[in-house]
Amino acid sequence: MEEKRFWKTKAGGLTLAFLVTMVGFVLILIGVNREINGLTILGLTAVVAAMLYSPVRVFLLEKRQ
Amino acid sequence: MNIPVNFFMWIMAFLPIVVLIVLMIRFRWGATEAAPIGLLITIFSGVMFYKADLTLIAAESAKGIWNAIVILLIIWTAILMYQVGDEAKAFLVIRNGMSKLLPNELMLVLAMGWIFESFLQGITGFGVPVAVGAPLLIGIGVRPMYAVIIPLLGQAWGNTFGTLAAAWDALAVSAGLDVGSKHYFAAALWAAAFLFVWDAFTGVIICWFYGKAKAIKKGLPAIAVLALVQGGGELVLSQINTTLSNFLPSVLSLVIILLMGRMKAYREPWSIEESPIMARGETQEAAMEYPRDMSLVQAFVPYFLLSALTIVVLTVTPIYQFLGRFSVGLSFPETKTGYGYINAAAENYAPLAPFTHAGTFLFLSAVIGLLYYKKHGWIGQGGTKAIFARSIAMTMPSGMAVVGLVIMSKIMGGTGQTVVLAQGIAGVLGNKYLILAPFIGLLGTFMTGSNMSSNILFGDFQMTTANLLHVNAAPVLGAQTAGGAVGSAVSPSKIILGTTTANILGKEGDVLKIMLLITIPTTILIGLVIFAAAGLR
Repeated sequence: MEEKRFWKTKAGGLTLAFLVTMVGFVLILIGVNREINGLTILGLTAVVAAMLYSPVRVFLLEKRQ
Repeated sequence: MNIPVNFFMWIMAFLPIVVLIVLMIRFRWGATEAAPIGLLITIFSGVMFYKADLTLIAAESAKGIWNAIVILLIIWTAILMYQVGDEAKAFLVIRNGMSKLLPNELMLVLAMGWIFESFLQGITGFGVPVAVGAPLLIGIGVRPMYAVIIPLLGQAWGNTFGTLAAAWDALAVSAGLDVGSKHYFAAALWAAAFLFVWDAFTGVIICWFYGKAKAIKKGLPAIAVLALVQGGGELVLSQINTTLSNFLPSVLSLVIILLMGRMKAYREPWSIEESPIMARGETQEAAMEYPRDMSLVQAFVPYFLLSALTIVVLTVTPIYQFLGRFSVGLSFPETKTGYGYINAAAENYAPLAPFTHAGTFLFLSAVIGLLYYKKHGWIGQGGTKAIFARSIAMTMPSGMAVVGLVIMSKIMGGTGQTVVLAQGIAGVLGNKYLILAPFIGLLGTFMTGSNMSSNILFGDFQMTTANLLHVNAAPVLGAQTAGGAVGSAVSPSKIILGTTTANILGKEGDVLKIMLLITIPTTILIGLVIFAAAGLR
């Protein structure tokens, strides 16, 4: 129950965002070193999306609520 | 490189930094929210105006994430160490114990906010003094906002020659100074002289925060002695052995302040009741619940361990060399912008040596401290799980901000925006650029969170500009690294370390506002000194 609540908090969301960043990081590393452009762009998109989690949550989602 | 250095390109390079500062100070956004906006602008500017392709942006982002992981290891382990102390209520014991050793409250604040941070900066650096110092100051009754501001100031002077002179060595390499040459020692002398004055100024500012002129009057003799030991010692040693020039005086000053607490002028209880930085009521109430059987030495066990581990590993060369052999780095291909700005391929980018990394020392100290406190019954059932859970929950918000800031600085560097920023200032101002030379150092640390990175980024540029302007390069290089050290007090990634452990996350803008008022005039003053020195030649 407590674990479920953690993932709904901002710290929990940021932890998820951090994990997505790490996945993006690995995809970029594979992409740039093996010259797989699609993978590189996918990784970059994941990183940017994860970065935007906090401003989107604070200034869009929470304000709407 | 064919990047046009014009007003538009300069503005586009400066925009992310301006937006970051405005969002944090004017709109009071936390760094976690502001950093991604700065990052988006940097990416947009990099692709649209600096002709970088997405592969370059992605590669620089990955380099930024890797650099950020190295910093995050310190943040998490420093927070873990804080949580261990907090769970065992060791900070309350430290507060009570140190109050007895230093009954003069001003001396207590100076010891815990300036001298102890200098000591930590001398050995570990990388923001550890801020992360560790903030909760210690809260423990002695300092308000959280000032518990972040004071360590930021206290650690700043040690950024160039601290961490065994890592930032200084980076400057020497970047600017092409031959170790041991006349220019090498001349630049070190200028840097140490600026930092000596800044160190003394730090003591005065802390007194001013504590109790305006009354506190300055009381603290001035102590500040004079401590600054002479720290800054003066560094000045002398910078001409003998730069590696130990910060560490040795910092250790000595720690001993001296405890001895000063026994001197006539400071051995009696003294405080300013209406001090705006203190919140005594709150801590005195909490102090009732501290573990009575824990001594001051026992409360400091994790910090003693940290000091001992760091000193042994970093100063005993065979151990350092053996442990430093294990390292992990990443490989990146060469990338190039449409303007021909090249980021060289790297086989082993930013290698991380885990066994000589500050995060390892912090982790071991925290875990051994945890076991020690647990053995004595100061950490109860379920305490260990709670400590680790809280440390992760507390790390994530600052962690994401650090990742965003470091990626932003890497993209700015990798697309040529940083170079345009610096060249634009130098090109427009001509000789008067010298006044802003230390500000460039500050800017580098602001962006990267590290005096060392600032020196790597701008060391060569400052050397080239000094030669173009036909001025002596030694004061310019000294000003670069001194500006970088001063800038460590305004670096958002360092501020967030303090706001995290002080539990005031989101207040980075308020801290930054105060710090900018202190640091920018300081860098301009340094600039005026080197401008005057160049004019006298």
